[in-house]
Amino acid sequence: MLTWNNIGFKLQLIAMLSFFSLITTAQNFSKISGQVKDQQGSMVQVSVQLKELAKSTQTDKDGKFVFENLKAGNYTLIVSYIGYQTLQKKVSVQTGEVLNLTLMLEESSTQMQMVTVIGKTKTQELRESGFAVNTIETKQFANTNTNLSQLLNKSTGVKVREKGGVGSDFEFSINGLSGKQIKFFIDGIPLEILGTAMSFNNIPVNLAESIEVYKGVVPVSLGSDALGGAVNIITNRNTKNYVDFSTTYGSFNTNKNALSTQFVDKKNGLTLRLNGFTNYSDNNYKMIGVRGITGDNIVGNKITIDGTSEFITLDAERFHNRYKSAFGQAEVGVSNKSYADALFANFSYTGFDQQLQTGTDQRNVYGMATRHGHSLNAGLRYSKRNLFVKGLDANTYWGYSKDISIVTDTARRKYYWNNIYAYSDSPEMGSFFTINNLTRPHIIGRTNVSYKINNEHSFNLNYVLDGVENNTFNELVTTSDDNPGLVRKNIVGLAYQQDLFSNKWSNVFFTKYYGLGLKLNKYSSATAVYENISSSDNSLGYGLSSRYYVIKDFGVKFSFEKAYRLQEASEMFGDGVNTIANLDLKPEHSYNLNLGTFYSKTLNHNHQLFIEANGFLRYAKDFIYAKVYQSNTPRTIYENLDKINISGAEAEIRYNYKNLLSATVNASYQKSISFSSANSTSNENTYNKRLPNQPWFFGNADLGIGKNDLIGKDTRIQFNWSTNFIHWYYRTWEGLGAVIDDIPSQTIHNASLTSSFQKSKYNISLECNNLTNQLAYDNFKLQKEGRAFYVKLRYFISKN
Amino acid sequence: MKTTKSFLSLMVITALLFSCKKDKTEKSGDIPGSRYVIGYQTDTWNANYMLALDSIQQLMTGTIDMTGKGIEQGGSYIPVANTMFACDNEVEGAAPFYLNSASQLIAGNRVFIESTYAYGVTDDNKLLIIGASWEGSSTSNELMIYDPAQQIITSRKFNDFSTGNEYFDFPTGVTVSDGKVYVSGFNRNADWDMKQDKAFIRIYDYPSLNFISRIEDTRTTAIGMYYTNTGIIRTASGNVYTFSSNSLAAGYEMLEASKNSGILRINKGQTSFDANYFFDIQASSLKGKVLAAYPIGGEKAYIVYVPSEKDNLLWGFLFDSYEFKSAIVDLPTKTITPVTGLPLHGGDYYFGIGSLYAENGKAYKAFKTNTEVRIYGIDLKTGIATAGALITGGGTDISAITKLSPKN
Repeated sequence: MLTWNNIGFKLQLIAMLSFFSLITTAQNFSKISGQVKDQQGSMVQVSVQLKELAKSTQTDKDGKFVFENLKAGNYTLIVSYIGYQTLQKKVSVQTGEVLNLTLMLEESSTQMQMVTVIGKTKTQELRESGFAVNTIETKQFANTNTNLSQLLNKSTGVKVREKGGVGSDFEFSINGLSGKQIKFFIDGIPLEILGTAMSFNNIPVNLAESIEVYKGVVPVSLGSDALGGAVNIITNRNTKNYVDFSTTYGSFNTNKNALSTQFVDKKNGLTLRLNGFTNYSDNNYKMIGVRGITGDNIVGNKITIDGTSEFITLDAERFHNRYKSAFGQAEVGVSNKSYADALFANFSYTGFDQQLQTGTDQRNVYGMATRHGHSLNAGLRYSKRNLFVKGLDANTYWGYSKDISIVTDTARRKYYWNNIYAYSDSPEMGSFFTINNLTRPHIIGRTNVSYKINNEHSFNLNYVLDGVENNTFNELVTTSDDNPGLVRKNIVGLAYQQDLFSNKWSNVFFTKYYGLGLKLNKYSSATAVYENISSSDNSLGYGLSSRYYVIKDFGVKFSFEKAYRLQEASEMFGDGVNTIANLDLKPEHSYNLNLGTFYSKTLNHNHQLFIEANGFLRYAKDFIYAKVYQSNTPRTIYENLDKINISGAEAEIRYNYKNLLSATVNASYQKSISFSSANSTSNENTYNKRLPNQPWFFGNADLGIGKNDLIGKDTRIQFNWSTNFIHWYYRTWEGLGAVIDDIPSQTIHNASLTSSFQKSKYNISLECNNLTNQLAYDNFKLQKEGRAFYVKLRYFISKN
Repeated sequence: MKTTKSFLSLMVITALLFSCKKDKTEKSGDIPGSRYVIGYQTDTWNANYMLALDSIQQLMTGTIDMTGKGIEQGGSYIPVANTMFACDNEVEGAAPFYLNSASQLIAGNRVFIESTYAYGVTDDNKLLIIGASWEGSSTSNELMIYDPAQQIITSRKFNDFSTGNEYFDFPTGVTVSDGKVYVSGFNRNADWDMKQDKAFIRIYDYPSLNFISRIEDTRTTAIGMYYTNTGIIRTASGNVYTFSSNSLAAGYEMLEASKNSGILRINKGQTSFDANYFFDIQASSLKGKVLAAYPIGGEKAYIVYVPSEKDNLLWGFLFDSYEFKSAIVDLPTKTITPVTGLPLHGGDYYFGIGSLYAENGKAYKAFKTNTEVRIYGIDLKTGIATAGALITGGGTDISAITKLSPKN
């Protein structure tokens, strides 16, 4: 049993041993030490072998290693790490000499294709931090048609639910909390600054290097008001020149192109980075067993007044579901200067144009409604390690964007799935003819300062300013919003991290301040006029994360946070079409607890096993919940539910064998129960019931088999199979009604085959999603795509 | 106003006219396998449930909820021709629910019915539906006849409801008697400026649906209320009675100070109001304004009214105003029997006359108060109300009650 006495004794022992070891080394023996780095800095847990003595070790958290008590002589160091070219270095050491080396590893593009890494990567390191976090390395999927949300959907505790097809609306859920309760970042900067079109289900996987998914407890460096967790995309920040271009073509007339390049002038550090993508899809996949209409009164595709019609059940292609989007970003700046590690200005544009096929559920069919928009963004980021003093790192970002989204709903038509329509009294989506303009100027500023006192103690201070103005108007009625709403958030986080007993025990304690300022125009029933109201709200959250290695490869971790989320402009002010304003919405908060354990083992550098299991609890108050509002067409309104309790557990097992085989199996269970307003008649049918549209049991299995040089030198063949299972779940509140019309259990299989040539310079990937053409559903029983095929060509070249 | 418009736009009426009176007069258990079918509302849009109960006792005792039972079915429920017709305008479509030979409640063929704003049951057991434009984009309204026996629409005809100066009639209810269709309504424009200064009825020939005339009466105000279908009934004699509220609670913002709420009559087969009949409810012992009427057999009606001094909330019939009372009136003799034992209650939202079911001298209907929703049984002779089943499980109202017998 671990006691403070034991720890004290161990410390004394270590100190004594170290002391004796120091004396001995100084007298007779030599030492080889060093630090392993790549272009981005020190590398953690890299395998370093001393070939002649068959000794091996791994680099520590600063990338350092040491072999002590060596006799003088010649040695060969073998430094290996997945994704990097193995380095062999011959060294010679004299008696009593201390050799200190800096070893640079070069990335190996061929080996990047392997599905899972060998040894502990940075992502593995993060997984073994105190936070409940999933980390996904995206390089291994770079040759596939996968987008980020599909990738995340395989992760434990994570569920991505889509309306269907490329570019469709989606909702992201982590451990039962979802929607805006989850915050998205790109290199720590809120993703929303890049505009509406920049969402996880259209960002090509090539733009990301890895993704971090924080569950429930979010580090202060992602300074935001995330109630349920956060997703952070890490982009490639190396200083190489590269060009990465890919093009995909597939079912439903889908075409995606992505380009990512970087040009670095090694002399002066000047860097130009260009990123961009285009997406296009007709999304005209087949809907099975849906409602159509037939009759003797149909002329063309219109129901006329003469004669009668009746319903038929049929299979029909989606006919108004086209999506196209484009994104372009230029980033220019300098790297590795005395005054800045990075100083970059960026400009970006996103645009999208989308036909809307359905409302909240597929019983509401649209045939004319559209949405389009664009966003312009400019930003500046600066980062510097060891600013003024050693150990003081700072980075800051300030950005401004203007996001415009226009929904057009001007057709007095009611459509059915066989593209037949009837005249309707009101337009498709709402009650009024609308060309709704939604303009949201947005400013985001983030400054993060960290100070590492020593290897054991460090601080992190983070400040975020997030201000958004909400302008909504119907251009058929007016030309501007006379009373735009304003939501301004100031969020300050402070964390203290301690790494004790040679990193065996790590703790992070943190607190977060949330300041909310609102300006809104609200109807006062007392005075019967609209009044301008300014208000503010302050909240204080706090938490901790802790990780302890019980033995070398086995650890436990615990994290807790009292998390707040401040209401978003989109929730308070609505969107003028589908979401109705609720100016009385309050911030929500939640007590989030995670308890987890993990075990990782590497045998002979060939077999790796990683097992983790986590349990979690969420006690949410004033839970912001999207409710279907009673109207002539269903619309959404956000309301506060008093109390939601979520509990669950998840587990994952991963196994790798060399570069040849990788397998992952995971399962997640969660139970989201409402305990809201037991005494209110209107909440009676929801009390102590599971929330609708929340999957509660799901799992994934992935298998990857790949081999290098099978079809020639510098080639790789990789085959991936994945199976995704979701147990049936409720479409409406649990228990109501006898006829089960819930979302059925689904098992979806996907497969891909990738060939890479010339060290991954040229890649071709064939992919089949939903191999067995299973009827797949999502929220509110919306049907998703059946079997689909894609081919992706990718060209990648990089040069130092 | 926009809010009100949006709110109003969601109302879908339920109407039950005379045909189910035949059912109502049947003694319970007359036909083996008969069951009582109810509509159960929740506050989620179109998340309504239909449930068959085995006996009237289940309506009058214990609690009623939909946990693990009930068929989810949107739309308004209209008892007609031994079916509970679910008039769902959504894509799922409308469908007649009936009892099969094993007394199981099942749906028949679904039909496409668009924009229904008023409907009633004809005297030959068909459903007469009037489509209208809520937005006022068109004043040409469609009259349709749906035959539950054949499960199809058998006839449809358009008629222009315009009355000039951009005003038009908007239907509040419809009934059919002796070969004529009587459509009640109020007058409005596209901006929802409502005129209710006089009563009027649009008359059509049945079954041809050809327009005959539009009759007016200045003794009282517009008949019925928006989307409720409780302003016009047909009695056993074939006479038609109409109910004018002149009430804020019924949604009429501009009240007529010189006119009282009351009941008019059109005698069987006639195309004019009976000049000799006006039942002034406001001047009667009730001292109130009649909001809704439900046929209970013979020449009687069950009415819901608001005491004049409590008529303070616009659209109170649709919102949570619990100031309403009930009475039983004998229409030809103008005899009033106040209902006792019933708490002050709210209106029945938009459920129409199908929300009250009468048999064996008793009426059954759910009433909403600010604390509960409960079914009451009301003795039609004495007016004494008895508390029945409490609605639990999140049910916000019982939209319809009827009795169905199995079809072979």
